Amino acid sequence: MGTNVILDIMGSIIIGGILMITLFRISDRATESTYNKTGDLTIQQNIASVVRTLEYDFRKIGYCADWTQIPNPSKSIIFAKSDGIKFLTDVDRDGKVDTMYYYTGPVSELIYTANPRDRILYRVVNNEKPVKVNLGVTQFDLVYYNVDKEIIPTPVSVLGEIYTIQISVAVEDIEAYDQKYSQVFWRQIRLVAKNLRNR
Amino acid sequence: MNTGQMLLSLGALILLSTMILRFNRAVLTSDEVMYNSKFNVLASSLCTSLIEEARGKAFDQETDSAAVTKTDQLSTTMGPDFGEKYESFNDFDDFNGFIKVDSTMPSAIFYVTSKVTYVEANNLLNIVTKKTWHKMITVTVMSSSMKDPVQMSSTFSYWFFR
Repeated sequence: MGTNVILDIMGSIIIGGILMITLFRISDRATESTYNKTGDLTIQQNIASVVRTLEYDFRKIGYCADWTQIPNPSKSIIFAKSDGIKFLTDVDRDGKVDTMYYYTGPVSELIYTANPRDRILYRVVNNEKPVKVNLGVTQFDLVYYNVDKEIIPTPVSVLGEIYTIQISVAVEDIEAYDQKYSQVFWRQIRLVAKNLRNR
Repeated sequence: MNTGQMLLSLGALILLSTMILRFNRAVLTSDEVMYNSKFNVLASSLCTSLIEEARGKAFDQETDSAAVTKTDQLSTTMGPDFGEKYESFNDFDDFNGFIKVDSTMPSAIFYVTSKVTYVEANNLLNIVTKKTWHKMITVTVMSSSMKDPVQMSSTFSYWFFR
């Protein structure tokens, strides 16, 4: 075997190796990309579900089909914390006052998911069993403002002062490729009791 | 390696490079779509927040502290009154011509603008110049990170307790 042949073989092995590494990297990138895109799509669908429920429930703070049951909507919030709120509403529009309680559980409740930050969002109507929402919620923050747009410290002591609530929700993947968790964030400022003032 | 083999190798490398570039382009395009939809979620929340805020105000400057019974009694100009700033907005049409830069979001800077117009009762999409009991707010949210702006509208009608 001549020197040229040996050089050809060595050159082929080096080039072949580079090509193989390139192909492996492409394959790895394709897997990561597919995983991340599927995860992104899932968290966007999840946040849409969470937001739809929150918007529906928070819109009805202080609402009752029989208005005499909640004559003063400014008294419809029972307590308000930065990570939870309990308020009066009429869930099934039957004219009977219901209580609704939203809060998040500790991260230790979801140790079986890979994401170390996700937690369960609870929704409790009256004294029923809490409904668990496990859609990768990592943040559920509530900020309360008075009519002058000043932040009210939590837990709120004078509940009638609350004029608007800023709701921030972040949802992340429960599992992620190489622990690169995608996040979707949503924030909305909602009025408490629209029909509060004579306008 | 003769010339023919060299050409074949070069051709193969060019083909592989093209394939890699196309793959990267596909990944970047889908990344762009994903980011855009995330920004759209935030932009929608900004739109609804501003609409919600405006709906919490009085219908008109003239209805802030008293009731009116005729449309002639409504104020003639849309927009904030002289010297009125965002912090002191008290009626729905103060948001006409409103511009706000929101840099509090974690991902991008958003530009929020709004416009308030009178609309007809029997066709709420029909903008009119005469005074009616219905006003429509159109909120537009833009960002240099977004491909297209997000726009939302909401109609607010006058009401009062008897």
